Amino acid sequence: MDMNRREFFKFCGVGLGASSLAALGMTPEPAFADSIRHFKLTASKETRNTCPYCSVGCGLLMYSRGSGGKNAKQEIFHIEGDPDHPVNRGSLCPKGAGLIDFIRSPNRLHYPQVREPGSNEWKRVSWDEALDRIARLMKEDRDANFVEKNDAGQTVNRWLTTGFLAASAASSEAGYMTHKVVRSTGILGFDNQARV
Amino acid sequence: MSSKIIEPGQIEASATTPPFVLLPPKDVFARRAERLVSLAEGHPLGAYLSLMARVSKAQDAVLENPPELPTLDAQALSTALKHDMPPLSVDTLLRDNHWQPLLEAWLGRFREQNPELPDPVNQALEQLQQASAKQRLDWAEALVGGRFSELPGALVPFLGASLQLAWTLWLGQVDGKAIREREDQTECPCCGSLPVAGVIHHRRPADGVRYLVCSLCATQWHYVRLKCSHCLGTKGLEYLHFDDSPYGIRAESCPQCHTSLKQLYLENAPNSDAVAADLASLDLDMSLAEQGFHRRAPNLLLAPGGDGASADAPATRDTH
Repeated sequence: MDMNRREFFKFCGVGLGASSLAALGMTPEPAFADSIRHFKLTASKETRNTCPYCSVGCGLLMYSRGSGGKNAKQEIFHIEGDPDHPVNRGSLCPKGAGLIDFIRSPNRLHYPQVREPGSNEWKRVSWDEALDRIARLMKEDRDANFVEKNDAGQTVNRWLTTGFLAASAASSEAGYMTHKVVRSTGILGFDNQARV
Repeated sequence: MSSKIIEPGQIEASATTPPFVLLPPKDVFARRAERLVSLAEGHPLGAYLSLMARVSKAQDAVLENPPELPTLDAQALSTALKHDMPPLSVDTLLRDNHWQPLLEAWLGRFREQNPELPDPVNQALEQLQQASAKQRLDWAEALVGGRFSELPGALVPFLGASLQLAWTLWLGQVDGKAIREREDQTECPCCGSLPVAGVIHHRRPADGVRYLVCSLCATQWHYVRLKCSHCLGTKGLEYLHFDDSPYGIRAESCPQCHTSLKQLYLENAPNSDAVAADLASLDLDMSLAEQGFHRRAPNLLLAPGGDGASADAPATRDTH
């Protein structure tokens, strides 16, 4: 059988005139085709992602509205477990199941803030300021406390006064990069919660 | 006090892999008929949906009391399964012509259940009844080959219904569990036909899992979600639907190959049936066509009409 000649088809107002509908005398009113123009065709997206919470790394399906065009605002309206994901097979824990509220939380951080020593107030800073500040403080601490050699005179290159906590939901590759970057500064106390 | 030792299999039960293949229930046609009846109410294509409800009712009646048929070659079935080939391969079984008695049976039952039918319907049934076996086979080959323009549109739903009936009946001789799971299965693992639509289930153990529904034998098989069932693309898929549409249908539309396949979300329409929902949502097809999306999924109960194999058909992935 020649399956390659399989037809692609389009249903259109004109086409229905040659369909089984017409052939059996059951063509819809012409108004049917016209009415369709007035219906609003909505596009939603379904996107795979990984739950950001813990190191189990459950798969998620996120449903969003909005085409992603320049003026269209995209909005996630539903999140559920990814039924095809081998880790969770569609299930989520109560925290994961509440992710939509995490996204929409009024308490969610939208920008970097700093509470300086001695102050009891959070101050909004720019990303540049935040990154510069972190880099400067790390550098100062490292310059002051870096241990090049131990008591026996052996080279150890340790930096024990700063720790580092990296995110979950990171891939193995991101975990590898975290390890390379952080370890090369001499930091020993760090955790990368991506043991999945 | 000694604690109970958990045996292998006891924990996995809570996170089981959903089955690869779901064979249709015995009352698949009865359910479809029921669904079509309820969809027909107040629908612009209500007359056609009611007619198809009666078509399905006759399918159900014959499925319950089928005529005597030779059993399929058990050796051929197990060989096909062993080599991951569809056991009810449509190409082979069509030419065996054992479906023709079922066409006869269906025609008889349909006429018996519906003594009064509109003239065009009667004429179509008559044409099917009078046609030679060879002529019917040619039509059937065109139909399951997706070449709707090569047979009269009026015959399609009745011939299609008889073929569906035959293959669904034969499924009784197939062991669904013996079908090995394969990834990226875009054609029915039981008969090799294209899906009519996808179904997103809403009950355990297949909660949220997508199955494709065979247009011919109504078998459902697992197909990963968010993946085009034509070109296997996963980028930029959109799910197009009408606001507040009651059919639970969204069309998975692929911007790479410009085809779309309807997905039925049972969560939104628990009693629905893929074939029925597809027929009830032709308005979505028309809207998708205006957006430039092609449709490849056949519905054996409706010849689409219009320009079939057209010059603007998208690049095909060679499937055969």
